[in-house]
Amino acid sequence: MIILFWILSGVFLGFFFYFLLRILQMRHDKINKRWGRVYTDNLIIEEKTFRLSDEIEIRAWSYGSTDFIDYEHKMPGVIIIPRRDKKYPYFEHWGAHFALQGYPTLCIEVYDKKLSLNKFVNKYSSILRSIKQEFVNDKRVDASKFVYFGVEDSAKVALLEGLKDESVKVVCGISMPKIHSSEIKKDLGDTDVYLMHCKDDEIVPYVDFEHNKKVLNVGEHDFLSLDLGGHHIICQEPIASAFFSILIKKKLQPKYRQIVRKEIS
Amino acid sequence: MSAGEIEVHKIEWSDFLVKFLSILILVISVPHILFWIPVWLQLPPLNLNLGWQLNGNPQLPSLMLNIFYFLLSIGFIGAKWIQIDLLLNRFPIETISDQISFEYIKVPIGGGHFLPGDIIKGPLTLKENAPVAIVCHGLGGERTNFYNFGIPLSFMGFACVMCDSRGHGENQGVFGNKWDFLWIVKDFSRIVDFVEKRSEKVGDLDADDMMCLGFSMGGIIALNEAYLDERVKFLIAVCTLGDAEFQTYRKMETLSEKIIRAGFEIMGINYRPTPLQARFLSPFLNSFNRKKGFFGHPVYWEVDNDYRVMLAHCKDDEVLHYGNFEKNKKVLDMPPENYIDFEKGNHAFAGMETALIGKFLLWFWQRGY
Repeated sequence: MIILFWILSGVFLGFFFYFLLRILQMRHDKINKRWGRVYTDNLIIEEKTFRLSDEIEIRAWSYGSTDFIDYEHKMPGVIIIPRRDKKYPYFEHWGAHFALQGYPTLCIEVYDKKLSLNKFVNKYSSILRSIKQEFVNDKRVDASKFVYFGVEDSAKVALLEGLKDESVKVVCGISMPKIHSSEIKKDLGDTDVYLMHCKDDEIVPYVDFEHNKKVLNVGEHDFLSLDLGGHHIICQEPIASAFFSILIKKKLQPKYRQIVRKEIS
Repeated sequence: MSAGEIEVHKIEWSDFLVKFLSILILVISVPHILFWIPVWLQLPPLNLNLGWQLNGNPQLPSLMLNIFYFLLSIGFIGAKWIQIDLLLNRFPIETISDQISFEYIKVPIGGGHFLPGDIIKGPLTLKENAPVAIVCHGLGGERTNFYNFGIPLSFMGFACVMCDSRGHGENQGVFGNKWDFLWIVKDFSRIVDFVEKRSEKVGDLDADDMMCLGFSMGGIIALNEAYLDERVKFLIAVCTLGDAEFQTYRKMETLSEKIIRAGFEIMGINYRPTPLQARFLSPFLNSFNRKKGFFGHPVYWEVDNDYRVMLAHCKDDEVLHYGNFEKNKKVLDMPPENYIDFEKGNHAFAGMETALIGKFLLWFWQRGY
């Protein structure tokens, strides 16, 4: 009979520790696993592999919207270079956000935590250039208009590479590291830079954002600074996504089929 | 009792709640009694030799099982609680910025009562004649829960009006009750009146360019009162009700659904609407293809739903079942560009928020914004 006691004790304690772990895991996930797959029939998602050399193979995900099946007007292409400490599908929500507005969107996985910032920027700048060359061939993409969207260290990749390319009309950067004036040319041409930063960022201090704003000559309405959210803009993601999208729309003026009110007699 | 008066909180003791709580109490308490049966069997007059003892103490194993089972119960309830909380409370960090202004307002709704709220303006909101987005929160929530959806609209140039309904937010314990559903829905017209008056007096808002964005109970407001109100140009209803009778009398599929419903009934929400109450809350019976008549009652009308209405829902919604969305979609005969549904995300669109905003923006881009 005492065996029953040991079995029940094991089961009860086992489940208790399981629930305890679940609680700890859920609290951890609340901050660290906020995003994942976006499951909707409105999205067309395609995984791509770019073999750039014998050693470099990059995974990327292309996103489109079912509302734009025929793409009667070609749309600006958006290339997203997400956080380098997160793997797919953590960044899928950014891709879905832009794709659902009709932008053909490509998210590149840049999971590479070990490289120094400079090495990371150099490596992925050339990768971004090569991938963009292939993305140009996408029949949905207006090859004269691109948006580079970078998060954290990847924002520097987006910026430095975007400023070299005349077809990149917009560069968006979230929590971008400090940019030295020597790293960029003085005249940014027709490229607009939009930045977003949180004042409580402990990795890239807010003064670096202020510095970047000056160096990049960011316009009065072309930046968003929030008091809270930290380096990873926790809880501010929808606000950031809308902020960038609205500025992109104003700048690039993509053509949308207009739905007008039917005159009802 | 007059409308708006605070009633003493009373639990809605439905058959479901009684059964649910009875089962819960049985599951939690009965094993504690069962654990002592071996001890009793070993006592006179039976004196059975079951070997139920630890260290010569026959009571110790039962006591230990009591403690372990208690821990298990606490662990289970805690895990479920946090699971539901995480789902419904995705944005615990506030959005504060020098670039976003919050003007505190009090919307008069008659009888000396007010709905406290904010007008949120972003850097691109026009100083004069700004289009207006009225954002309505859900049952048991408050306006601040939806800043993350209201603020993006202010970036588009909207002045975003967000109010606490009666019995909610700042009004909790001050005015009205959470279960004053029909009043809460009707109060929306007072917010529209407020916008009209402010448009005339101050001029910062454009009363001819108003839209309504509602979540859950806010979606009920959008699809009923806002839909009927011709002053409202567009409506977006997110995770909302379609058929009140279907929602309340359907078979619940998951434990979380049962816990949520029990929570609402303990909160005092009537989950057994009369046919008349169900009619007032179900848009397909109350408002679709109608407008307000001379006396404010719904009369049939030709409405351009394709231009005016957008819907969004998650298929795994455990608060308002996906069938509600299907009902609304079917009755409105919606083209695919007018709605979006996600496989996952539950009632709060967890993890889908940025994608949802992308779809909202497309909706506005296609309507000339």
